[in-house]
Amino acid sequence: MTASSRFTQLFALTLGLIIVALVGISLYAAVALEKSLMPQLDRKMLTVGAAVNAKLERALRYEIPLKSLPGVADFFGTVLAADADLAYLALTRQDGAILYQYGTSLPRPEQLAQATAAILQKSPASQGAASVDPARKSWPVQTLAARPLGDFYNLALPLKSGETVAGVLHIGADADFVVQKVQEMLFDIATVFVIAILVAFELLLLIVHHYLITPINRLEVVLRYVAEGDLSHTLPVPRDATGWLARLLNQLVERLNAAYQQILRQAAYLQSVTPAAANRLSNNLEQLWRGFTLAPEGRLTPYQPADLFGARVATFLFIFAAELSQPFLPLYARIYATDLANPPSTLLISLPLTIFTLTAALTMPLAGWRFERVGSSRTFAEGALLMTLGLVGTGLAFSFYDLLGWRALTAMGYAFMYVACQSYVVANALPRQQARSSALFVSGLMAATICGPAIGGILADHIGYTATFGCAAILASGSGIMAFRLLRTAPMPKLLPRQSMRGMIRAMAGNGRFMLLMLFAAIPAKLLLNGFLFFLVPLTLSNFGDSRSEIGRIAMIYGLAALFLGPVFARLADRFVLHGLLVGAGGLLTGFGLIPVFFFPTTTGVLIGVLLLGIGQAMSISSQLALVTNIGRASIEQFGQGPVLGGYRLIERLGGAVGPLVAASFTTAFGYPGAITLFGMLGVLTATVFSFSFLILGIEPEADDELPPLEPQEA
Amino acid sequence: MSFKITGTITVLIAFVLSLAVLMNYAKFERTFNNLTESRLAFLVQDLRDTLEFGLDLGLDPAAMANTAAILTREAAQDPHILSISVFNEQGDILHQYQSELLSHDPVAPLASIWLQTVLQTTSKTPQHASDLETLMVGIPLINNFGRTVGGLVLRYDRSFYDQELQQTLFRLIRAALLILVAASLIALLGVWLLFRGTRRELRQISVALEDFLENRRTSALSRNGDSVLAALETAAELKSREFQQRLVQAARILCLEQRLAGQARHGKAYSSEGIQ
Repeated sequence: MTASSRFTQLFALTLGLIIVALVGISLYAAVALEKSLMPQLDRKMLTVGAAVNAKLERALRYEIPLKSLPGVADFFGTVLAADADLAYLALTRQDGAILYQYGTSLPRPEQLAQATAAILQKSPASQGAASVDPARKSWPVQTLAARPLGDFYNLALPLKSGETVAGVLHIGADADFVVQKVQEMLFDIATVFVIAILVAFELLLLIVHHYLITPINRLEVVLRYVAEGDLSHTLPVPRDATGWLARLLNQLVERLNAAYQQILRQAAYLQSVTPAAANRLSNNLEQLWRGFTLAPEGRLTPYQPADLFGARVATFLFIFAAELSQPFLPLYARIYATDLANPPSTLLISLPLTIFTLTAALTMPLAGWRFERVGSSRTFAEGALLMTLGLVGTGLAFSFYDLLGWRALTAMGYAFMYVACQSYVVANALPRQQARSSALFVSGLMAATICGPAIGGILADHIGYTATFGCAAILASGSGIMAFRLLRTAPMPKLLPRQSMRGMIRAMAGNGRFMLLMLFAAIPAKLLLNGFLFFLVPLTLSNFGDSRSEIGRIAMIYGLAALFLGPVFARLADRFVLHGLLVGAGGLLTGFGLIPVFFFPTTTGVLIGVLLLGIGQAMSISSQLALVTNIGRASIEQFGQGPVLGGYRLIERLGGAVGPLVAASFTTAFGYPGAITLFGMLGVLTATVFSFSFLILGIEPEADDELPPLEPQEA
Repeated sequence: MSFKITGTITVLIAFVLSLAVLMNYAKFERTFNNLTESRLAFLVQDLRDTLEFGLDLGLDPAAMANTAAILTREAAQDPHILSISVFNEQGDILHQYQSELLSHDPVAPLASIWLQTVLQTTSKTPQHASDLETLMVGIPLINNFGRTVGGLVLRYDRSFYDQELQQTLFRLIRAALLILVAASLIALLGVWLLFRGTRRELRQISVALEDFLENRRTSALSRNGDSVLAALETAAELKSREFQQRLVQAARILCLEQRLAGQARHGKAYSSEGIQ
């Protein structure tokens, strides 16, 4: 059985256990909730029934016949309108015939007749007190409890008129009252399940790789080295199942090297004693060692490749921490902005998000500089510290101004951690596995983009903003500790010679295609993402009355679409060379998805917009990168891939920082749905310009474009 | 390794269960709270209707003699109602029902600010508040000229309410812990079974390598390894054996060279003696 099939089985086992645990706790909760809530519902039905009965009995005291009471059904309607928990009110005669009834759903007449007969049978008179006047004796309390009646819980209350029972009042509630309450949580439970799958995948991947696949791969590599005659490597000795074998293998290699060194020492001595035999001896020994590589001077090299899965999980955790507040950050900012202006302007509300994106974008070069000096684990740990402080501060902010400061600190941490992880992957991936390693990093990032908002919304709904920021801070510090352990094995990156930044900027600015790509694809994509998804979606949905859990769930759809469709579109783009087409189509799809919101200002309209944004971005993200490397090939050859791609990232992030500001100004003028529609129109416009420009210009310059200017021919 | 993987699975299930417990409890708390609040609100509204009927007849709230009896009758519906108070525009209590429970376990008196809040309410919707000991529902009394002439406040025993919530939370946590323990045991068993083969294989390879190191066996070819790791170990062992043989050869060469060097020294000494 291979390691991957074992992982699949382990994942299946974990999923099975998660499903069983979720189903188990949900069923138990339904039973427990029913046990606790039904007596409360009973009490409420009794309270309402007693009050309605008292009013009817007062009318009967004036000797108005029950069947002639005016407006009883309307009165029932008024009572029910004030209380959504009750399903119906009905009044029957002693024989069970219905006189008045009102309700959204009603039991069948024969069921009410049965219930009437049942309560009258339990009357004090029928319970061995025939001689006593039933009207003067009250009904035993245990009989005045709700009983199941078809699809309802029914409470029957006898209605007295003087000394006789004139009829029976029935109050009903849906029998599925508790089940309905549990069902209302089904979306939340499903969200938890989706997130649990993603978290399980990430953590199990790390654990299985860290404790099984990577040590076994290491063993295989060093055994292969030995089998090929390379005796210069040792293995780290973990405290797990592979540890014993690694120790034995080290013993073998050390022993062989020690024996070899001893021979070399003896040979050296002999050569010094008999210089005449030196050549012969060294030739003979060299022949013997042919086909073997031994540790120079007996110093063995530990074989410890970098753990890229560690970087993936670290990425997952810190993005998770950062994204927890995504579905409610504008709502949170609005609370603080209200202290400055009531109602606060949307521009003010957008500031914390803008500051975050801008600070993150501008800190990236600093983070890169730090990475080059202290390596990934320290850069990440520093970032984790900054982010933890920032998140704690955000949760406990005193005013709008210090909230801005805390967001900036969080963004600095974010930039440090992002650069540490990305650079670690780039620095440690084998040349032929660069794309795969980058995908590893991006997958961790996307998985966190799904989990963060959804869980953040649920947590904010149930434990509040401050506690949710606290959870985010714990996650960020946890990722720091984990990364400090997992990323420290990486070798320090070599300092690259500084390229001329000004030259690179000039070269990129002079590249028309590059500028077109930036202005009409990269910047609009990030502008729409930050302005719509991170800013307008929470505020608009909150305006529509959606809870933070619902906002989180809707935001999660973006991540889901991007995670699952991103690789598909990337493969399609590579296979059929559709990069330009996909960037244009992705932009158009995003734009067209947002336009209808103004005309259909509903949660579903926004949801469709988020979904199409996810699909659109999945189409364009990887294709955009491919276009950048293609269009900027000359600059990449001259200045290196890192600086050029860094420049591209900086430009698109700056576009992202502008997103909330643009969204805020649109909102001020046109309201939330109008702003979303304008964003959509902007998306369509930029995507159209991009598509036409590249249709005319092409991705790569035509051969004619590159012909050198004609020079006068020499005669 | 089994324990580490099981530990991870346990953490995951604990994460899922804690979220599920949190959501279920929050839902329960909200529903329970809604049921209790709406019931008490209905009770208070019904009382208000009864009292306002008297006001509509032109009676002074202080002079409505049957108010105490009405309050007592309404309070009889629920033993956890601690008090129902009717007060005038100035906030002075005119009529009050007090449960017997209060004589054993008195609660803090009604805050005048809360009475003012009730009096200043313009809508006919009941106002809800709570303190450490009681849940409070208040509603203004408005006469048929639309003037607020007083108010009505019901105080409900919070300990009963909190106890119900705590019991449900405790039940949910207990169930979650039981599920967690059961799931962890299943996970431990599953992981143990799943990785049994890997452990066995690693052990066999380790034993083989140890045998080789201790010179307990002669031929690596006699073993059958069906996995990549076992095949590599066999190949590595063969190569190491080959290197060991080279080392033996090297030692022999050294020995020979040493002997030759010794003979040469001896011959040199002999010839130099002859010359002398």
